[in-house]
Parts: sequence; structure tokens; C-alpha cells
Amino acid sequence: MERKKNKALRHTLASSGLWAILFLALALCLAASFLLLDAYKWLNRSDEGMRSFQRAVGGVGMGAASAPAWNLIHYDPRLQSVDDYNLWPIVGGYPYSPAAVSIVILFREHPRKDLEIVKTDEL
Amino acid sequence: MEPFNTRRKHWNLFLTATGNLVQRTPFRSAIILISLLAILFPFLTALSISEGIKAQSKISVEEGADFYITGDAGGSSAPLSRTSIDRFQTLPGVSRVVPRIVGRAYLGEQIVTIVGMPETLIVDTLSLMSGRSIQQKGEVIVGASLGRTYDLTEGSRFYLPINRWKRFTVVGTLSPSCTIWSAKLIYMSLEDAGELFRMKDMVTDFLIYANPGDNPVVNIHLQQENRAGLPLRMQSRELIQSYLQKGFDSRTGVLTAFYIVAFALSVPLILVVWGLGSVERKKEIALLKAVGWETLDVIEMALWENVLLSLAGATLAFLLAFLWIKGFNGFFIAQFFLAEPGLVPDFPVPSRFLPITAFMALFLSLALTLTGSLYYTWRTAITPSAELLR
Repeated sequence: MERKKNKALRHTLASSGLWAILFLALALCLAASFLLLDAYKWLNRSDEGMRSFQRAVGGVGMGAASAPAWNLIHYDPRLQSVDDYNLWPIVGGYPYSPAAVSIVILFREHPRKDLEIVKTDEL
Repeated sequence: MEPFNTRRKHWNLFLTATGNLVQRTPFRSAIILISLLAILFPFLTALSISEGIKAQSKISVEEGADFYITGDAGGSSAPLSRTSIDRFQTLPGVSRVVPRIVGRAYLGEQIVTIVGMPETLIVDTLSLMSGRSIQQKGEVIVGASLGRTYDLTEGSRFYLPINRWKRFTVVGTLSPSCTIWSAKLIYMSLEDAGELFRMKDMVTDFLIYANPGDNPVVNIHLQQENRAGLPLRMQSRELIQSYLQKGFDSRTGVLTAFYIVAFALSVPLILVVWGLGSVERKKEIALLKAVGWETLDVIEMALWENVLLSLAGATLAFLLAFLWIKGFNGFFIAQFFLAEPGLVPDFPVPSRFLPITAFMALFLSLALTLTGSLYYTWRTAITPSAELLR
């Protein structure tokens, strides 16, 4: 009697709920297999094409831009380490470079460390 | 109250929660799922693209030179005379010095990267989609995106507006798998690049490769070399790696901060959504309490509802982001994270999905839904049933 009651309760409350759980489990399995597939691809990928290209050009490109359309520093700081969008004469201006507002990566100018300030008492 | 097996009790609460989500309040569940998807999908997309670019950038640094030397003209990089190669070639610890010209120019409406390397160093091992390597003056290899946009195939002749008198012949097309920076690149000999930019006997930079373990020695000698002659701008591999680290760290930090704010703002939204049908919910809780449910049972049921919704939201957002990036190559959305790829990126958008990203999405999703509903459920559950049913 008790068993029948519980069965009935489960049936009423969750007949389509069970289908939702099955669907969720399936989606979870799919997501996990996509994660594994991506990890497997990265582990076993041949990056020799990328490496031979970078060797041939001596290393070009580091930023989230496929071409140096705006500021070279956002394409590759090795080519131009000066962040010249800061130099644009727009007071309080907006950085128009799309690379500057990219939320993936931003290269900022590194302060030069070869300046030495020597303080003496003689002055 | 009938004695319940504890495990069966939890299982029944779980089933009740599922039933509530699917049968009783499908509209509210759908709205919460859509809200979670709208928040998590761009988050997962941005992080995966960031990881993909990071991996390609690392290769760029690893396969690049140990030192990059350019001239320094009033604080900006400047070209150097090709003859100044002698200043570096004889330095202790230097294995080889490669002169290079890298510039930007227009081809049609596209801005392209021009790379000129010495003829003797042009390699045959370049990964080409079609064609062959450069053998003669005037021959170039073009990026896959440029080849497709302007129908540049082997034998095509063209010029660049920066120098209309310099003609080029396409002999090959780079494979799209050669990183995103190869898509709009034209690879040619150093002589041709010099003629194109009218930089006779000049180069934009010298690439210095040190003998293994001799980087510090070369660094010291380069610093000393910089005391004489024209000022130089020197960038070591270590400095470049710090560019990379800082660049990604700062942006990932900004992204995370941005999303924390977005999530914080989403909490009231989810609260409002939970409020949909709150009268019915109150009555339901009151009845459950009246038939013997305890406050903890009600909270557990609400917890299961939130866990299921969060799990579904994070999983669906992950699947959508994965399919969108891998299947549709980041159509439309890639332009928000990469500079100028257009609506339909014409190069493979780099991406990498890490388990930590998926877990972060789940965690944020849980935090969002739990904050929105647990307090409300608890407040309702501790209120006397008679008062709720009034």
C-alpha cells in the first residue's frame, strides 16, 4: 500500500520532471565530452604549422587583432612598444582603437627601466 | 506522520523540485534559464577566446628572437641602418642576427601586415594552403584571408597603394592554421619590403638570437652597445613574456570584475523573476507546512530547484558557446572580443575551453540563483501557515 502511494506520488509530481532530468543528464554528458574532446585536441594538436610560421617571420603578433589596423602595440608590442593612442590630442578622449576596448587582452606600455635617478647631497 | 526512509525523502524532494520547475512553473523556469544563458554565454565565449589567443601568443614568443632591437627616435621606435648589423654580430654570446622589415599597408580596403625577411632565411617549411615558397624577387606569399577576399591565387599580380610602381606576384597562400596574425599578412623578401616602403638599406628591427644560456651575457653587451652611437630600443624575451603575462592578467581581471558587477546587477532581476507567482508559492509553502513539512524540507526543495536550474543554465550556456565558437567560428560574437574580424571572421577564431571555466560558470550561476531565492523561501517557510493562507 505504502509502495503504491509513493509510486503514485512520484508519478504525479514528476512524470515530465524525469524527462527533464534525463535531458539535463544528456546535456551534461555532451558538455563533458566536448570538454574532453577540446582538451584531447589541444594535447594532440600539431602546432608545427604555427611554429614554422612564427620561426619564418621571427615572431609576429601577440594581441587580439588580426591586423595592425589601429595601434601596433595592440597587434604586437615588439613592433611598437609605445602606446600612442594615449598621445592622441583628445582631452579625456575615448580610445577609438577597438583593440583598446577588447576585453580579451590589452598591452600597456611598459615603463622603461633604464633610467637611473641619482640623488647627491652636493646639489 | 509516516516514517520516511531518509534517502527516499531526499529523492522525493528532488523529484518534487523537478516537477515544480517543469510542470508547475515552466514559464518562470524558462525566464530564469534564458537570463542565465544571456549572462553566461558571453562570459564563456570571452574566456575561451582569451585562452585560445594566449596559447597562440605563447608560440609567437617562444619561436621569436631572444632580443628585438629597433632605433629610438624621441621615444618611438625607428628604423635602423642595415649596416649597423655589424654592431651586434660580433657581440659575445650572439648566435645570429637577422634584419627584418615589418610594416603596415593598405591592400584595397584592408590593412595588411608586411613582413620582409632575408632571402637566405626564407624557409620552405612554411605551412602553405597552396603554392610554393618564394624563389625570385617580386614573389610573395599571402595570408589565407587576403587570398580569399581579393581572389589572390598563384600567378596573381598586384601592387599596394603605398608604392604603385612595385609589382608583386603571388606564389603561395599561407595555411589558415598559421595563427590569426597570418590571415592578413604578406610575406616577402627583405629587398622587396625595402623597395615597397622605400627604405633602402634600412630595416625596422634586428632579431638577435643568443647561444643557449647566453641571454644574460648578450643583454649586458647590448646595454653597453647602447651607450655609443644612435640610441637603441631593446626588448628581451623576458620583457616580452612580461608583456604577455600582464596583458592577459589585466584583461582577465577586468573581464572578471565586469562580470562580478554584471552578476551583482542580475541578482535583483532574478529576485523579480522569482517573485513571479509568489502568491501561489506562498500558498504552496503554507499547505506543505500545514500537512507536516518542516522548514528544512521546504528549503531543501528550493535548493534542489536552484541547483537544477543553475546546472541546466551553465550546461546549456557551455554547449551554446562551444557550438557557436567551434561550429559557427564565432559568427557575430567574435567581433566583441577580437579587433576587426567583422561579422563573419575569415580566419579560424582561436579558442580553448577549460574545465575551470565551466566550473566558474556553474559557481556563478549557483550564487546568482541561490542569492535570489533561498532567503525568500526561508522567510516564507518560517511564517505561520495561517498567516500565509489569509
